[in-house]
Amino acid sequence: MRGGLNVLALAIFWAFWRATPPQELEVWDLTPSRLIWYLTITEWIVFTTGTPYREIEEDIRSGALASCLSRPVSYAQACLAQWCGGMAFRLPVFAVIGFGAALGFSGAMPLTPAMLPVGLISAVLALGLIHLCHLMIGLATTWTGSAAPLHWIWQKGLFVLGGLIIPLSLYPTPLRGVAELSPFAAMLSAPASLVIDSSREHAEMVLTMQTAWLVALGALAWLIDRAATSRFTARGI
Amino acid sequence: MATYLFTLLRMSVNAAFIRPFAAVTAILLMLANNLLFYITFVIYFHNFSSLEGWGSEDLALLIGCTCWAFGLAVFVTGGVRDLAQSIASGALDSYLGRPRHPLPALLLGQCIPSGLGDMASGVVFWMVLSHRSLGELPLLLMVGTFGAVVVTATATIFQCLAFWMSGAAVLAEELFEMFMMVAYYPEHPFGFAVRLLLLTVFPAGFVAMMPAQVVREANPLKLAACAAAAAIYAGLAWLAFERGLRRYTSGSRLLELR
Repeated sequence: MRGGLNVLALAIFWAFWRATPPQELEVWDLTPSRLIWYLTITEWIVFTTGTPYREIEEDIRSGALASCLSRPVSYAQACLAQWCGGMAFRLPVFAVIGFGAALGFSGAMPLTPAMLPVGLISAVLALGLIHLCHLMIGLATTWTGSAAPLHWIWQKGLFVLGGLIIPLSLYPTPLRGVAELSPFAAMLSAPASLVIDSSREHAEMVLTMQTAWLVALGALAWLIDRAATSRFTARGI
Repeated sequence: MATYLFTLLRMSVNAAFIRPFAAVTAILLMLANNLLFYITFVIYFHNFSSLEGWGSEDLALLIGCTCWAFGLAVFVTGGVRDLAQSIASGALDSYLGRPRHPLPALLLGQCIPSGLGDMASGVVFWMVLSHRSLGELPLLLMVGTFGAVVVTATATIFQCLAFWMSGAAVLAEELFEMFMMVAYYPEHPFGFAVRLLLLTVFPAGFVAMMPAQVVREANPLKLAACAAAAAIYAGLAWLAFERGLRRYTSGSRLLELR
């Protein structure tokens, strides 16, 4: 059913972009086909992710985390490994559904065969960034008691500053600047922008930016995990 | 009957506001959520002149109708989203021994406070972003309320699938998500066949598209169509529940197990 929801969203926006004055799209060197593929990739990433932070929130609330602390692999690493397994299943499934629908609507594939591996690597890096954020949001339950409000704020940031529906190149200058400086751009807009600009320079810039954010968010997640574990050890759950 | 319904509503509202801080936070967050999501359309109309004849004010009108309809539906009849679960788990049993019909108690048994945030954002969309006049507010509230009846009725029909199918709770929730997703976006660029579908089998067109057209065009015939749709889909929901109830034998757990 999630696949159906994905296809429905694409169908809505296919009608949406086709109803947009074509001469105004040409100003931005865009076509409905490119825009639907942009959305296909952002939706692919969003649908593949799901809401894994809830598992950590549940483990902390129920106290199930206590039994995980004595294991040789840290709780955070175990969560990430488990999520990677789920992601490895959902990523191709949603790719088949989303890409099939986009191909059916637009009848074209804007990514060149040479760019497909780059697109895949970029999508995996984006998913890595999003899962690190989910890890941190889930661990925040240690202090806040509920991770949902934090997730809500983060998700809206992802949708608006990440350019879920509209490419960042169409954003007004101040908002675009803020979005591009935020990690959200590396999570959605960066991999999806490869269907709009598939030049080698752009691809290199995208992968570099995503790697830099992966290092930064990875370090932050490590610090938060340490702080949370210290708190559990000192005060209990 | 009206006293009974009002009492049910008062009790569920009291229960929802038992933790007032959490309830008010949910309301404010939902208001902010809807307004933040509108940024996408602000960016769209910053770059493009129209969406097949519709401008940003029309979009705000449409989204306002969806917000009001959804908000009112979940605030007053929030129990609708747990209906399938009640059927599957056998929780319906406790309602069957009561002198009143079980459906009103099930629907009005839960109030979701964030619905007030949706309703408030509906008014903001109409009055601030769509620049509708105060004189149009009664009409907006009327068509929005017809939309809310269609939302509750459609959700009830989806949830009643639990009488016939196992695992229907998840299916019903996802069908409802699809329904609301379609209602949230303008449907006029769709082809005739899709629009026909959205005004019949999957009546998302009566939640916002038709109400928005009533206000835009001041069309009494379309207003009558909205009122008729509310009555017809409410009747269908009642019928689906009644037919399902005949199959229900002390919980659908056996169906779930099978």
